[in-house]
Amino acid sequence: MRIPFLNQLVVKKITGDAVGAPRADAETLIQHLLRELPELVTVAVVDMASSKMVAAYTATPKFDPYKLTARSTDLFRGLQRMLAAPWLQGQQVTDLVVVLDEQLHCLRPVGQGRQIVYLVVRLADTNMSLVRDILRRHAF
Amino acid sequence: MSTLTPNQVIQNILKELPSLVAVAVVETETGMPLAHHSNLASFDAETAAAYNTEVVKQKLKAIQALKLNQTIQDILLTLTDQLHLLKLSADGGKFIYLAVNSADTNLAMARQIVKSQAAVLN
Repeated sequence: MRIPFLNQLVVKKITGDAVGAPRADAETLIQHLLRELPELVTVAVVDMASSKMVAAYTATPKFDPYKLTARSTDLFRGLQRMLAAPWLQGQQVTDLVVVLDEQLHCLRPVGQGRQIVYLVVRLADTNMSLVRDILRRHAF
Repeated sequence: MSTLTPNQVIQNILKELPSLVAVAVVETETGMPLAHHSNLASFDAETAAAYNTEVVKQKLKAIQALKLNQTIQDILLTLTDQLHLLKLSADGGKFIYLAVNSADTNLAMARQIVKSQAAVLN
């Protein structure tokens, strides 16, 4: 549990603001990803409608996934608007990958677009194709 | 290194990927296309440029908020059967936006071509 007034980031533990089945499913997904990518930096599952954190894990206090929740859902809402264009008819978002100097940020809609998985890895630890394949297998 | 205009960059990419869906060089500040081409009559360069600029700006803001101290190399959006690639110029003032059919062009090819053109774009 994350205590808002302390605003302290819990490291190397799964936290989140959701309860019940959505939380359990998100934790399972995070555990699967941690098993495949033990060196991952951060992984977060964000609820699309509320922008709330369903569950998250970060390996470092330098990366706060809670700062990404609203930005990620805003980004996906923007993409949905873009996909309404006639020339993009029938297209759905599979994933969005941002390549930085040293990190890879991969966002993928799951549960028919009800949630977003946000995964961050170091480029030194893995590669884009592998990360996307792992997400394809576990996050849908 | 010699530099190319947005129009020349579009022509070069078209030469390499004649079956591309759409390509544009966009000014990051205004979100407006400086040059573009599409094989689809319904492609709307202004709207596509505007939405993609928002994607770039959103990611730049997120990186700033996280204090990651890193720059964006490129952004890849995979759709049902299209790949969309955004690649910023060296100074970040412009970006190349390329949309291809994933059946025609693989990601590595698209990235390679866009990367080489972004390096000489002025």
